[in-house]
Amino acid sequence: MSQKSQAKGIANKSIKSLVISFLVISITLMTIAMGVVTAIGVNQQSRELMLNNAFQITEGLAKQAVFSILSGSNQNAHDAMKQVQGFHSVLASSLLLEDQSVFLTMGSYPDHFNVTLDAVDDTSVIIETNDYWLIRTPVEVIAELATEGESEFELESISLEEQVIGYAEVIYSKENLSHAQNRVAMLITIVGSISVVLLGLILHTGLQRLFKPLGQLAQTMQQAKKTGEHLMARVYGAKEIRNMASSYNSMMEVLDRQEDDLKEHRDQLEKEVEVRTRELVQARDSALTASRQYEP
Amino acid sequence: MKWIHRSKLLTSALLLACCFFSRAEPITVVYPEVKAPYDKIFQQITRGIAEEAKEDILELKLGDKFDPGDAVEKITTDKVIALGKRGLQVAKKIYKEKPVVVGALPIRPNGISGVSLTADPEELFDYLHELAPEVTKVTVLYTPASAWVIDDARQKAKARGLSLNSIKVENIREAVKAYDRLFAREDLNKTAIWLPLDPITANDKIIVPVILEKAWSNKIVVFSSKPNHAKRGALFSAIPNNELLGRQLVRLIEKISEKPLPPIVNPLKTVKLAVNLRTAAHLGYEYGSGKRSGFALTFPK
Repeated sequence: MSQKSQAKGIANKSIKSLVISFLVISITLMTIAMGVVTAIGVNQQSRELMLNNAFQITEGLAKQAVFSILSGSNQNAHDAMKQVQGFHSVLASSLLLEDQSVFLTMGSYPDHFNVTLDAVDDTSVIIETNDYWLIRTPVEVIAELATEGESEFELESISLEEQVIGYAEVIYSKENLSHAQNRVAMLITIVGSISVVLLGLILHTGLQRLFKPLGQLAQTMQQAKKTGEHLMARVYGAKEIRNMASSYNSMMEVLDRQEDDLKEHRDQLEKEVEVRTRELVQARDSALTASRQYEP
Repeated sequence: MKWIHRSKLLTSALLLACCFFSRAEPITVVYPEVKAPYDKIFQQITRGIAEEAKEDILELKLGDKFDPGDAVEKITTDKVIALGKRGLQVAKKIYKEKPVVVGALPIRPNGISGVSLTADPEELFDYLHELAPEVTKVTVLYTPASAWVIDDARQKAKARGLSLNSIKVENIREAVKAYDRLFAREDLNKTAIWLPLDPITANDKIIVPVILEKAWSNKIVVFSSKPNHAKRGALFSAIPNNELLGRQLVRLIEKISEKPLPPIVNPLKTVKLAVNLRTAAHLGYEYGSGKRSGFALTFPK
């Protein structure tokens, strides 16, 4: 029944409105899907870029903190820490000694912050929440690697003992990331909506023009049905519509010819009937005259 | 009388012939095969060797994956000059059997004779006096690796009226703390800091950037035995004169070939000067064109 009612529903609508509806709905769905995928992709990239930036800031702090930690004087680290705090997204930063005790801290740690004592070999995210990342990296004394040519002028026996002497950590706010993500989502929504509306308008105008010949053909047929006249349709528009119009016109021509043939045939018959009738009348009159002659 | 004169003539001719035909034993120069621009350094040293030596020079290049044993077998001469780290590997195999000197390395006394890349303190103090005449005190941090040149430096500083404050450290942590204490002092007037050719006390990554920054802030003279430190901000640094190094190596090999001597390691006497003019201006020094013409390199370029 539902199929029948569907079919009935479609039968009551024009093909033009059906096509437009179908296209607009398809484009809307496609735009939404693309918008979602794009938003996810862009947000992911923004997140990676921002995290990369945070890593670089933390590693930079670690490099600059080597002298300070080795000297045991946190005065030497003040400038480096101030530089790090100068970044808008950095909420707080710390330098820790090898035993994880605090060497120097700047900025304000978030409320309910749980200190963790994870020793790390590489720059890593220790804690991630919706609001911030806690990034930690080792502060290392690293032996310099000479280039292939330079190493020929160096003695191997003299080298620096590599060791981890502490850790640098940075609390990096996600606020900018959230703002960026919201902006991206809004932009995609606005652009998507405008695109759908514009496309709808363009489709509507375009399809109107495309379907006009079909509408006119249908009207001509309707008129022909009403009046009974063999009206000819205008042949124009898309190929299929022109074919339909031509076929219709051919049909009308055939009907015209058939009508003419019928008329001619009818006239012929009438003539023959008239001749026959005359002959029959003559024969009757002759018969009557002959019968009167033989009466006593 | 005639026969006496003839015999004299004959003897002279024979002697001359002997001298002509018995040339001195060639010297083998062993050095690494490296890419530009480092190959230029060995070429310059070899040129200096060739110019100074009376003998022929045979060159033996050592490739990347060379075998010291194979290289030793190719050496046919009695005198060898070994350059660079690969050259030292060869030298270690033969120094007990024949005269060999090592160059183009920051060697220290270790049983093999040679000329170290470490600049002679005398040269450095001369340049210091020339470029920063009011400096009377020099502070240097050193490890056991560079102790040999510091002992020599003390004498030479004294001879020039300089006071040498030498601080021995064992590791990077001690070096950093010592530098920190140094800069915390107030009496840094007329003091210069000497960065020796030491991977600990003149560490390029950890120590040098901080020292140069603090020296800049406190207007303290820093000079260095490492060539590239002038470019980074030291007032001046020593650059080896490679050709003269070659000549110095020849003189040394001739010396130890004449008679057996205990191993001799000499600092580099032949250095050129690289000067940072921006640092000089910051410290209040102005050098005339005459003086500048004596600088091998100036920074900024």
